[in-house]
Amino acid sequence: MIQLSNVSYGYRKLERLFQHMNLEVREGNIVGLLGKNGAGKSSLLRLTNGLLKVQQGDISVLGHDPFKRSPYFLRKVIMIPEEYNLPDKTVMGKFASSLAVFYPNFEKEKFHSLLQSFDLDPSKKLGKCSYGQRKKFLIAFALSTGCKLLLLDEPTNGLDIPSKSIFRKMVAANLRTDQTVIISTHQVKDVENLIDRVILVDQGRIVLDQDMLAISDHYSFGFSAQLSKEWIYSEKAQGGYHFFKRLTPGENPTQVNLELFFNAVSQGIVLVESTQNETVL
Amino acid sequence: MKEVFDINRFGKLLRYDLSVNRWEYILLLPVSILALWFVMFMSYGNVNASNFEAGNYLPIYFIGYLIMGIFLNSKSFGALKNRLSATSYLTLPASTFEKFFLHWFMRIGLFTILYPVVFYIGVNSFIPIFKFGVKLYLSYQGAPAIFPEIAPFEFTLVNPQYGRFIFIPFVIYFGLIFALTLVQLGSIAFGRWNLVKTSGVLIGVLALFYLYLKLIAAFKGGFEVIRPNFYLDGFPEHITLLEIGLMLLMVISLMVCWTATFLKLKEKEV
Repeated sequence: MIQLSNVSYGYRKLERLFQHMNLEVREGNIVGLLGKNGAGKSSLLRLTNGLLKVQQGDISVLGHDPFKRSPYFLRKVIMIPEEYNLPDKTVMGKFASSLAVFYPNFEKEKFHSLLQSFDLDPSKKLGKCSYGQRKKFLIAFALSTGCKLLLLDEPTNGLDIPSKSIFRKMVAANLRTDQTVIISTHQVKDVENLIDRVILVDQGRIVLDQDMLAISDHYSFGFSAQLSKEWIYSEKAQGGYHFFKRLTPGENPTQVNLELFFNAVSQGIVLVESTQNETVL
Repeated sequence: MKEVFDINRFGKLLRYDLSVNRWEYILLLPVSILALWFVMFMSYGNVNASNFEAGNYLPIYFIGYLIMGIFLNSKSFGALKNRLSATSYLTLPASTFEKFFLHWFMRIGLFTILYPVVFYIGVNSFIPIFKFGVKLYLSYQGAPAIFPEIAPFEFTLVNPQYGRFIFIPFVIYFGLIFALTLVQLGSIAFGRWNLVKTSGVLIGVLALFYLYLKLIAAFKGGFEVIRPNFYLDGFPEHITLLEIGLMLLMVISLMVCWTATFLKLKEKEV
């Protein structure tokens, strides 16, 4: 579905953001694209969506060269950028109708049901909506398009706590098996229960590309008041430590604490060798 | 071919454009007519002893076309001036050619067709208003209500076939469309301050054309290549090589401008 081969890109000629990057995303994945601010997550989404042109290497998304911006490609991909500009004087429902005609698989009923779940009124002018309401409107629209690829850049930014929970439920409940979602975020907690694969980007490099299941098969995450030498990485919290250690034979897998794992990998604590489908942890 | 242009998809794009820029289009008509009323008020006010003849409309008509067209086209590709709206616009599922053509169609093609109608309505609706106003003013002053005749505007005045020679109307119409296309290119190439920067380019191009015309004047009669032995209303009695050269240059410049605008849009990165 998405294939990046030896891709290099930089905003300045001498300063490359990505250098010889390789990546493959398969159909049906919900991928969490994680990284610190400025790590290159949004640029990676923009390369995937055809908003930026690769300077070296090849990129293929759904069999298309994204930068050609073919209408056949664009109608299969939808992106919600971190920040956006919507026409203030236009009513939500009317704006959605004028856009929906471009997406052949758009489901109007699903859209209205999602608006309802997010407690949004389609007759409200976009200019009178808050940042969070506009974001929810875009999420509802994107989920209703039926696009094969959904690129969500910091989708939970600006959402209140109940909306973040609704967002996770909506994404999980409204996706077909042939749809792929890439969620770029630095708010790791917001997506850890949603994604099935994690890609960590740091300084323009992919430092981790792994299925969530594989992480939970290799590591055990927990909280303890006492420090232990078994731990690979820990962080002090109120009343004890969040930690992870290698999963021992016979031990039941735990839920992945992605934020902890992210911090460990970012600090180079966990040595990870990533291959196409298998990672040696 | 359908990947480049599809009439159904173009219709959707047009609908989207009308939905997003609705107020700009709606307000343009009354604002244009009010601006025309103001210009005609100033023009008729300058008529003292002589009548306002139909021919007097021509410079107002063409300058009005240029000013209104420049204003309208400087707002072309407005979505690309802002990084946020550019993202939505460039990822809209329509081809680059359709997006380019939509702006040309709305802001040059349709404008060129509708402008004479707007000018006709604006000018001819103002004549009775102006006359009535003057009559009221004069009766208030106690002066006799005598005022020079004001000729109405007629479409035949600006018909390209009206002139005896092809060259002049061709240069005027192509020149105007070229100027508007250049403004459209400027709006995508320069971003901020596009109108100021494009005006500089336009002045440069006009200077080049002026030099070329000077050259024509210097060699007038020396390069006659066509002297038809028939008479046809509107067809030139003679045409020089330099005149043909200028017309070709204008056509080529227009093509270059269109291509450059299309490529700028195609290669736009956000």
